[in-house]
Amino acid sequence: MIDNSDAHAPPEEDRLLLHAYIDRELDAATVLALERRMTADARLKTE
Amino acid sequence: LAGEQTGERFREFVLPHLDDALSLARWLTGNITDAEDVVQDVCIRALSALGSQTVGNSRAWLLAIVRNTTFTWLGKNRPKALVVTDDDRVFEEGRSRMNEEGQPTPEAALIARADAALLQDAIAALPIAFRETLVLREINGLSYREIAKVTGSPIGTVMSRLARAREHLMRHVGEIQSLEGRVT
Repeated sequence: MIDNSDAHAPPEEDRLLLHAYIDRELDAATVLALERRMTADARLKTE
Repeated sequence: LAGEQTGERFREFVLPHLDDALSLARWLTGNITDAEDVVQDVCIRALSALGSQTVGNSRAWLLAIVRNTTFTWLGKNRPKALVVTDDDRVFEEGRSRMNEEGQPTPEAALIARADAALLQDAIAALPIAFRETLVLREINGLSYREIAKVTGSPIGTVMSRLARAREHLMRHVGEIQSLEGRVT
């Protein structure tokens, strides 16, 4: 089981989105939304 | 005439992707000899299917045949290798079993091992559902949508398996590298 108890780890859905972002698999709207969130959330950006 | 047309379609739809087919079969079976046997069966199946099927994305179509043929082959020859699951515990149990079954200790295995071999072993140690998704993406270069088509899985499952496969891989390589640091 994936341990989601780590407070520093992003939630499962965000992790999947980050992988898809790196793979250039997201549509433009989702990319924009994620980049906006990464700007605001340093932890997400670091991940 | 029908035979000639099928032959032409075989050259058009199958031959350009034989390297990809062999690569996927090798990663799934674990060795080139078995992979060649599988690809031989794949060619027969593909030839037969070309007579009746319309082919859109020929690479995804052929890799789906490779995947299904490999699973049939594994079911017949190595049923234990065919544990298709998304449960991470299977991954951990598989790794524990590897050590119990007299595999070289990590220390011994690390001696003189190149990074490429290390990575190859780490991929080979992944459960088949994770491994096929990772190989289809990183080695065959398929899109998420194509992987979903080849494996018959929803895109969400592809995303989850791919992310988890990468995380397992990073953790596995990290563990070995830290061990290597202690050994050398």
